[in-house]
Order: sequence, then C-alpha cells, then structure tokens
Amino acid sequence: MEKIVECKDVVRVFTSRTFLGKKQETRALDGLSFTIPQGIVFGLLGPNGSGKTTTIRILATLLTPTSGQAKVLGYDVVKEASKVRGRIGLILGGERGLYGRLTGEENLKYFAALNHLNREAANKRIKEILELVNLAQDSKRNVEQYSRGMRQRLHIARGLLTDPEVLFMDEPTIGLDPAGAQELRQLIPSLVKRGKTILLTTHYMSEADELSQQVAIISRGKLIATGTPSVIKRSFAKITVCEVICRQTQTNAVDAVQVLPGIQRVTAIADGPIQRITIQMKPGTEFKAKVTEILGKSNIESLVMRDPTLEEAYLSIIK
Amino acid sequence: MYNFWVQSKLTYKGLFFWLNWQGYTSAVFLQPFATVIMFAVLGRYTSNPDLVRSYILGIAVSSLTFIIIAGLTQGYTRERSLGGTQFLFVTPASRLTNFIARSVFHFPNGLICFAVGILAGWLIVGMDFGAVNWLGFVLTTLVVCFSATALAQVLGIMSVATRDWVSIGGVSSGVLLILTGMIIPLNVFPTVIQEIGKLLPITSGLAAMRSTFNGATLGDVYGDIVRELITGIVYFAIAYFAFIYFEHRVKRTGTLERDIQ
Repeated sequence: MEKIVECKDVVRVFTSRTFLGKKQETRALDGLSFTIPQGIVFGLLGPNGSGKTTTIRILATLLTPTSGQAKVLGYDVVKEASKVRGRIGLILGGERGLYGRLTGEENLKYFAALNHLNREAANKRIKEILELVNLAQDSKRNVEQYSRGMRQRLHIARGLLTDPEVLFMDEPTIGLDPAGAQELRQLIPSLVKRGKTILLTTHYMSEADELSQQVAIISRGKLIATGTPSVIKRSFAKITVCEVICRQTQTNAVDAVQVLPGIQRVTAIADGPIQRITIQMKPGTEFKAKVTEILGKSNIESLVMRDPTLEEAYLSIIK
Repeated sequence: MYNFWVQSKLTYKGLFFWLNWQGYTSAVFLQPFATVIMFAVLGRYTSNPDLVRSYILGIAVSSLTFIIIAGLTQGYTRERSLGGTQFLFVTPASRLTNFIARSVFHFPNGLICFAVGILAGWLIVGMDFGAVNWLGFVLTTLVVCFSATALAQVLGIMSVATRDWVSIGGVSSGVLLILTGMIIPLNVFPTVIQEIGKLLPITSGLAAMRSTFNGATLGDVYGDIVRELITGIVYFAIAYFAFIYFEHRVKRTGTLERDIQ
C-alpha cells in the first residue's frame, strides 16, 4: 500500500527566552516515526501537549522539523512544500482563522482564490461544500454572527474546498453539538471511500475508535503505541476489564472492591435495582473469589471479562 | 486576474478596521480635515498665512500616508491575531499576488484623504490653484501615493512581526512628519539628517508636488518624480522579501500561533 504520510525520527524543539534572556527549550516531538497508507483514517491520540498539533503543523508545512524528515504524498514537507500545499486540506478545531467581517461564502471565495480555483470552479465548489456542511442558508451572513458550531463547520468547508487528497483534521468536532459532530463523523467515511487519506487528532476516544482504521498514541513527543484500534485494546492496554451486573448491594461494596490487590479502577452505575460495576485491573489479577464474596454470590447476575474500550486502553497506556 | 481581484477586495473588506460608516467617515474624511485645520490655525497663530499655505500640501500628504499606513499595518496585524495568516501560509497562493493585492484598495483611500486635505486647505487658508500644472501635480500625487503604499507595506510586515500596528503607525507618522519636509523644510536640518530624509519615500515626491503646484513643468521635476518612483519600488521590494522572510522565520521558530496557544 502506498505511503501517503511518512514521519521519520522527527524532532521539534521550541526555543524561547525568559525576560532575563535565559534560553528555554521544549522538546515537542522527540524522534516521532510513523507512516500512513492511502485511503484510511489515522487517529493520532495523546494528552494535551503530547505533540499532536505540532505533528499536524509540520505535515501541513506550517512548521519545520528541527531534525528528521516528514513526507506527504512522497514530497518532503520542507524542501518540496509548494508541491504539498496544493494537495492537502487543513482543518483546525476552534474559532480562529476565519474573517469575521466577511460572510461565510466570502471566506470560502478568498481561500478558493488563494488555491487558484477559477471563478466558475470556485462558485460551483463553494455551493456544493456549503450544502455539505449545512451552511447554505447562512452563507450570506457575516461570520462574526456565526455560532461556534457554524464556524467549525465553515472550517471544515474550507478544508474540503479544494477536494484535497490528504486531510489533516486537528480536533475537528470541537465546538460542534452532538448532531453536528455526528454529521461530520458520517462524512468522514465517505471521504475515505473516495480515496482520501485523513490524519485525525481528537480527544474523543469513541470518535477515534469509530472512525480510525489505525491509531497511534503519542506522549511527550514519542510514539508509545500504534496499530488498529483492536490491536491497541488487546496488545497495548495494561489492563483487563470485568463487567459485573448485580443487584444493589451494600453501599461500601464498591469501595471494598477498589482496594483489592491489582484493582486499578472501579466504577458503578445504578439502574433501578440493578447495578453495573466495571472493574479495571492489572492482567492476571485473581479477583473473582474476592469480588463474589464482597458483592454476595446471590446478588450477582453476571460477571464477564471484556476487552477494554479504546478510552480505557488509552488511559492505561498513557499513565 | 479574477483571483487577484478577489484577494484585493476581501483582504480589504475583511481586515480594514475602519470599513464601516463611522470609522470610514472619521478616518478618511474628518481626520484629514481636522488635521489641516489644526495645523492651519497653529501656523496662523505662530507665524503668517503665507507660511501656512506653503506647508498645507505637506499636511495633506501626511493624511494620505496616515490612512494607508494605518490600513495596511492593521490589516496584517489583525489577520495574524485572527489566526488567518497560518491558513494563507498553508496554501499554494502566489505570495507576490497576495502581497500586492492587500494594498490595492488602500491606495484610493490615500488619494481621497489627500483630496479632503486639499479641500480643507482651500476652504480654510484660501489655497490658490491658479498656477498649478495639473498634469504634473496629479502625476506626482499618484507617485507619492504609490511610495507611501510601499512604505506602508514595509511597516505592515514590521507590525505583523511585532503584532503591534499602533506603535509602528505612531512612530512612523512622527518620523515622516519631521524628516520628509511635510512641515519643516529639510534644509534646516544637519546634512546627515537631510540624507536620511532623502532615503525616505515622500521626500522627493513632495518637493515635486510643491513645484508643480506652483507651476513647474514636468521637465523641471522629472528627477524628483523618478527618484520618488524608484524609492517606492525599492521599498516594495524590501517589503516583499521581508514578507517571504517572515513566513520562513515563523515556520522555523514556530512563533506564528505560539503566543495564543
């Protein structure tokens, strides 16, 4: 499969100076390497400050790596930046980057002009894309009157404007209401079907799990796990999970389970007389006898082991 | 050409602070009028009407430079503060086209301000247009406006780099007022200061403008006009390369969006 994005030993150090002139260095990326094949959604996950946005900025030619090499569509993002720019789309989360005094349509017209679309192609594409992101009705309104969600949809429209081969999406659903976020999540697979390659960063693990064919988890600028979401859950997760369905039991039972050896986290959700208890523990922990004793054998309806969710796996990996 | 027009129109509409009724009326009409009145009254009070007539052209030119410098510098700074500059830098757009497009609509603003200043001068100090060589006068005005736009581009890059158009606009207006002969004749300064003044836009053009206002032919002021034109071209080139360098530098240092992250 053709490699669309390649990062090889990418290091990015930010340098700043204090008021007294003392040099301070922050290593945002520390030898990051990964590849993305064509036609997939690649989820890049990590806590705040882990280097996700820095990675996207480097790949989008907005930042040069301190060392290492990054390529998009086979072109070096530093030496051949101009060849990369016309073939990528960048969607950043948040409200910045739009011109508030221009209408939504004018914002897109401006970026169409910057991307060398001629008048006919620009008008046709803008009309299509405004329909796609459900902004056609509001396209003549100034963006300063848009809600946060509308601005985010306009960001998405701008990213898709040139029908790019590669899309970099940095937290694209931030600020969207549940319906808007779901619409975007429904749009992404259709883009992939048309051969687009998407690098997606998000803090919503269910989103990454639903959309990504491959996932990489980075922390402090280093890759710590990569693979399909299933592989991440099974091979990299440092926990196993047990779900217990039982009748409501004594109030301190959950606390009693929590302190058992090897148990990492216990959560309980009450649903009428029934309680669902999720127990996360170190692999190999002997727990069944003790848990049965604490909850009461006659109270337990079911006790099953399951794979951790991506969120549970992620949290266990980055700890 | 269509894309150039779109970029010209939309950078102006999207980034010029004063593009609303109150802002535009105040900055383009009232400001030059008020400036001319202030200097005219000041001049009359401290000297005599003849002296005032001699520097009223300079005051009108200062209004021309003020509006162009303010418009372009605030546009660059505003774009960066809105987070729009990064989206420009991620496109394959011709940087030269975008750079030139930004200044297109500020040029006529300068001419309007100048015309308002001249009108105020006619109304308040009774400027006499009897001897004006109109062809030469209009040509020198256009050339001065061009070089003022070039200077504004240089200052625009400085303001986007420092994220501060107010200070840069204020300092540059003061420097131009003193060193280009707008009010005080350049020849009263030491030679070194005069030479610095000659390196600035406006200086030669304003000299030519004054001469044509008093009836000099194009042949008489040819040297000053060419010098002003060349100065404008040099400043445009400096600004363009500074724009390219700015893009290169912020990508290297990662400082374009860092202040707001």
